[in-house]
Amino acid sequence: MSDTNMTRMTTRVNTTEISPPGVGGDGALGTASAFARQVMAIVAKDLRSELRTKQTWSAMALFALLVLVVFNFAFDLRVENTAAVAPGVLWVAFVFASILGLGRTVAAEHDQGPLDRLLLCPVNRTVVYFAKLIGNVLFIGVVEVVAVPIFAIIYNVPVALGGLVPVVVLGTIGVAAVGTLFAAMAANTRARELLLPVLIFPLLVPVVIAAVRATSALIVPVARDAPWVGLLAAFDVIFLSISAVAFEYVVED
Amino acid sequence: MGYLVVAFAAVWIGIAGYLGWLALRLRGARAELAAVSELVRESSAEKS
Amino acid sequence: MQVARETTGGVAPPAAASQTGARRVRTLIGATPGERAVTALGLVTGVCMLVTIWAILVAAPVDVVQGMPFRIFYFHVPVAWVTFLAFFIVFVASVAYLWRRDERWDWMARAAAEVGTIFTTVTLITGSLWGRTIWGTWWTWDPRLTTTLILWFIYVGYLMLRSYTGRTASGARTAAVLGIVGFVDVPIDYLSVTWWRSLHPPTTYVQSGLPASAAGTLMFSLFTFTLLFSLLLVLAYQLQRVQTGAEKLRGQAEG
Repeated sequence: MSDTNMTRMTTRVNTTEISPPGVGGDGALGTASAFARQVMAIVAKDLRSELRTKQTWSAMALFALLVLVVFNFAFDLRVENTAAVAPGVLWVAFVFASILGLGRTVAAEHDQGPLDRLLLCPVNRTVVYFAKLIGNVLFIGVVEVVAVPIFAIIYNVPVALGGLVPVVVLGTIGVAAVGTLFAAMAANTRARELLLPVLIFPLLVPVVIAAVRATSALIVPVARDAPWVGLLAAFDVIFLSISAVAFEYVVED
Repeated sequence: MGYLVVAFAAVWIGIAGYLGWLALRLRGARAELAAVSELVRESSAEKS
Repeated sequence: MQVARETTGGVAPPAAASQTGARRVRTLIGATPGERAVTALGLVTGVCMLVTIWAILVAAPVDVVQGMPFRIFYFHVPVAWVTFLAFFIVFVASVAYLWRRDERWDWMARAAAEVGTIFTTVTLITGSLWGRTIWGTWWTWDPRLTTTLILWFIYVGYLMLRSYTGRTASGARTAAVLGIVGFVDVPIDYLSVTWWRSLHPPTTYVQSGLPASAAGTLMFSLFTFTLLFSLLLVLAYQLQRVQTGAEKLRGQAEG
């Protein structure tokens, strides 16, 4: 997110009500720090409630592992085709698990009502978006931390950790940026669990292609390959900015 | 060659079919609108 | 032109003997100027359609190498153009709806998405047929084909979203967001698929310049399909308007 974007978004926040006197309300720096503080407060609230139950995390991680195992049977992996198939399997597992988690988080918000209550607070919608986004990135990140070592073992792939970290982080941000917006969109409908994957997969195609390509370039380096990590970062910026602006319209009322 | 002719015909029939379906739905919707407005007129006439 | 006539008449015109000539004409071509305009559009489209079919099948020159299947080209390119036009209209109408909050923009977006999905399907089918004759395969993961397929999925999802939300303001806003995000996604898709395929042998396209008669047929076909699209769009828009009106009135009557 850019600085100018953030200041424009936060101008509508009623800073006097939510920030202690003397901290927010004057100048871009105060507004930015107020923005960060509000985002962090919501993230902390979500994390606390998830840490109590651990429902979402355990289901997502288990599902990701299951996808890894099932694809292992489905493709009958051998040494010569592992490099071609394994990155795709890894990202399909991540995206599937993400959708499971995304559906759950927003559904939980709607069933128990905190999203509505959250929107009653004098907090900008963009704050809510970024808080939900960070929460989702953390949720998916935990799953990835569990899944990557197991992936490396059962697919017998020499995972270069240093190189994989930026790819996974950027890919996760891309998935979560679109996913957070679409989870809120699907929550507006009667059949949100049904609709979320249908809506989200076509839009995630660029992110998935770039992430898979970047990952396979780590396993088997390709000469004259497109700059996939850079592209992934560019897609992230595009999807993040569109989603941050669009979120406001989705959760209106 | 044969499948091209069949496909060409099928696509045209498809487009014509969509046009017809659209027209049919439009007619149905208009009929419903007329029926509902008739209903509203009757009920308001009863009240007054 | 039976279909075009039927669309305009609100009531089915039984040829009753008591009907005067003027009334019969009115039920056939429409009572209001708007209905008559639609009838005229339908008539012009129908005539152009027949001329286009004749031009494509008989008059247009055929590529020396490709032979008869090249005639798909005159059909496929205009349909693909209409597809893009339709989704551009969805995008513009969605932006306008979020900005103005005028229901009419929402109807427009929904109508254009529906008609556009039909034309995307036709694009995929005709493209696949052409690919069979040129590349010898029904499907290839060429960037244009892949992007069109993803576009199809996005807008089928759009229509599903609309049918799941019903005619509510929040549903309209959500769909408008999808209309905008989906449209912005198209060039990104194309870009990423192009780079994804860059390692593979590039697909050969017909790049030679077209002779004048071929260009003429193509232009006329483009014109005809744009007319057909506008006719379908007008009908789909009217359908949205009438359905929303009926639903509102029903709500008033019941509530």
